[in-house]
Amino acid sequence: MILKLLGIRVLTGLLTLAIVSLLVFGATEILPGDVAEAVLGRGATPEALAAMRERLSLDQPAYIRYFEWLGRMMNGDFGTSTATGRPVITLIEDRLLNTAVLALATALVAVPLAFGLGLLSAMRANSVTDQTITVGALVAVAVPEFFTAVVLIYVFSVTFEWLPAISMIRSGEPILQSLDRLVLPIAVLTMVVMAHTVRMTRSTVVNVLSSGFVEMALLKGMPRHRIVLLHALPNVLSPLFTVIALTLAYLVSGVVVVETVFSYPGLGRLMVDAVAGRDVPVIQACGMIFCAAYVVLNMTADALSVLSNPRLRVPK
Amino acid sequence: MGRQADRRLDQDGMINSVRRGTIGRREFLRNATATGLTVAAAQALWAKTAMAQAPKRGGTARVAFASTSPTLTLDPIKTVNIPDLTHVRQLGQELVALGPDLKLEPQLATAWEASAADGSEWVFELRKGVEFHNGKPFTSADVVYSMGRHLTKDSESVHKAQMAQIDEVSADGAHAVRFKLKSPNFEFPVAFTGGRTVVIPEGHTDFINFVGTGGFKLGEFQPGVRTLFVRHENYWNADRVHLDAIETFSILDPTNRINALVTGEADFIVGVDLNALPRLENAANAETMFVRGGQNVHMVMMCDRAPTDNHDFRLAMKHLQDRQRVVDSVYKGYAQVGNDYLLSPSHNEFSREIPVRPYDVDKAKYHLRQAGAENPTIEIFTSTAAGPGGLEQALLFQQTAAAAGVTVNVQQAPAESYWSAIWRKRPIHGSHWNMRPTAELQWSQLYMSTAPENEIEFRDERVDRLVLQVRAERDEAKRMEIWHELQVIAHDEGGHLLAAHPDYIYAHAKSLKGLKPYPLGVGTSNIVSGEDLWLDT
Repeated sequence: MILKLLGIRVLTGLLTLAIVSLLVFGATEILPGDVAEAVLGRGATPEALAAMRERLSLDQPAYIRYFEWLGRMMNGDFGTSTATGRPVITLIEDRLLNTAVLALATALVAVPLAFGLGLLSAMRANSVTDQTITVGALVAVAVPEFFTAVVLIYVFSVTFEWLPAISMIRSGEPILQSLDRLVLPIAVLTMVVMAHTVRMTRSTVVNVLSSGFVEMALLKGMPRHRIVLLHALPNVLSPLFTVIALTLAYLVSGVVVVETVFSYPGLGRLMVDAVAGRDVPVIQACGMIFCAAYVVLNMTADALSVLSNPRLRVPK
Repeated sequence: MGRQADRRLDQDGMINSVRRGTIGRREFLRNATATGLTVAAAQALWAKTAMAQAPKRGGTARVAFASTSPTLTLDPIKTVNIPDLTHVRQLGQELVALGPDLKLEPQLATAWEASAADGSEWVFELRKGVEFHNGKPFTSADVVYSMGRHLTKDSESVHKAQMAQIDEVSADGAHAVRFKLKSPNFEFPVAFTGGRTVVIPEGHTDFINFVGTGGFKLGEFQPGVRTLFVRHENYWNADRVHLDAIETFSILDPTNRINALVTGEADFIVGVDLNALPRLENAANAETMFVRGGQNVHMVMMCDRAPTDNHDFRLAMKHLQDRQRVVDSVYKGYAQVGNDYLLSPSHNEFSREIPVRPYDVDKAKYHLRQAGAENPTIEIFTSTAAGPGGLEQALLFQQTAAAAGVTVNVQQAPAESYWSAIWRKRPIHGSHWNMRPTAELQWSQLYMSTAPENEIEFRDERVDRLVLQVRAERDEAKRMEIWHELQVIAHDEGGHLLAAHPDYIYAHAKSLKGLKPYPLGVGTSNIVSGEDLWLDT
């Protein structure tokens, strides 16, 4: 039964990816201007433009290029970057690793912290602690991240000189050696993603704590922390997985601002730069990676929800 | 930069102070201008004096640029953006180079002359004993190959317009090259200074592993992230290379570029906001560098469409520019006054006899009446992409033009698509050019009927004739006369609304020594060639 459920999820995931590939391709088609204009720039002559378009076979109809692109991608070939003439995969490798490291490190800090604060909030519902946490989390998410970043840089890099102001990662440099470069970006991103998890944890736990079986446990004389840990928490797991998955997916695809402020060479900035340069194969590859991240992470969250929830495991 | 100083020091005393390290650059310049030197002369004197310190060997200079994109290419004939051009010049060299005074200096060529009396054929003697980064010796075959890449029919060269004057290029022995031109040109050699004619080894096609003759070779290239250049041990001019390596990268955010400099993570930053100057003045380890040059941030009035196709209308607009106010308020004094055409006082051909057009509301009203367009409403399109201060200039023009009953709507267009959607499409719009070293290049690129970047769409038979005449003229004094005439035409009849030539502003760590002010901008400066630079650590 579980297998069938998971099988359906995988299939719908693949279908989603196929639709997404159409959207990504379509979006790059309607971008105004093409790579020839972007690469040759302001001073391009008509002959140079035509020569370049022919070399890149931009003169072929869109549907032919779509299927060629899809076919190559299924074989793991992302093509060649039109702007730099290098394989897209070599451009992406380092960036993907950097993005993954930043996303995971942020998740490792943000999720336990947010979960803990959420629990604390729920156990002291409507107290001063609860309200402080709630307001703090909402303020943190409401302040734009570039502002937070600039303030943190000003305080920790410029004034106290504790941490570097830019987070450039040199290729071949072990990322663990440059952990100090990650501290500020992680701090900024943690503030951005925390509120969601805090609020979700709090409301679910508060909800569970007001339910009948918790009252029963209380009447049995069970200590409060045991009620929370053994009875309330398992109910939080399922939505928590979903929130973590969405947080991770956001961290993989949506941190362009932070990458730009800190000069961190991640995937987001690669895509923005590629859009500016009309480097279509790179845009398409980044687009597909971002969507695949959402699909895979959501699928994993669903699977974990199923496994952690006995009600979903038993067929009706 | 014309700050007054009460103290007057004699110049020798100041030079000694620099040698002893008791005064810094800013104070030096202030004192030097107070003793009556021009700013340019003071800068040159500073460079000469500071150079007198013995350079130390070693270290890596880290350079932060303001723009990036993974469209980085190392094919010299295709480079367009600043990081690309910089990379290519860092690694490779051209036949000649421009010095800080815009005069040609020998580089891969040791001598050049017009071998035909009318200037239609040129011979360049090549330097002997030059070695490429891969160990191959440099000969005339490499030059013929590198130049030939611009000349093929389907070439993707962005330098095609200048190279089109070449009819034939051939080797004259192993160490000389002969160029036959389609028409005489006594200013021909300057075509080899734009960065696009960097010489690569014969047959070389791999632009991921660029091979040149420069003082630094490619260490590591991560497109859009960083590039590392390491010293080329067999460089022909090795005495002038002191650094072990140069690392370049981009920091897009202007505030964080300054943070990187102040916190010691960059040694040189390109593009400093005027608003950030006080912060740099307070920084103990950093110094600001103002370079006078011919940068143009201006508005284009297209001469082929209404309302700017009317000569009187254009003159009215030109009289509504309060030039000094643009210099003082938009550029806080760090600019030279412009005179409505694309040649600056930094150019050697600049005519000082054309008076600066004053802000004159009555004249503007008169010309508007002549044009039959009293109290007009106009739209100016501009963008943050249209050069530093471009948007502010348009907003100031809105105020100064109101006095003559002109209503100006300033339309801010998105930066990403500005050059394809707005430039050369709207009657009045902002534009931005870095300086080209000679008037000849400015005119053949921007003012002749055949000029590929004739953004004002001003086509005039007199201009074409005079440019051909000046190219074929050997006599220096006669050439200056013709240039004066061409400048008068552009100033009076052209479609440029140009109030100021902003200075280039950079900042660098105090420990980075040997920087020289090049009026053409960072691309031709020695921050790129790396020559004479050293770190005092």
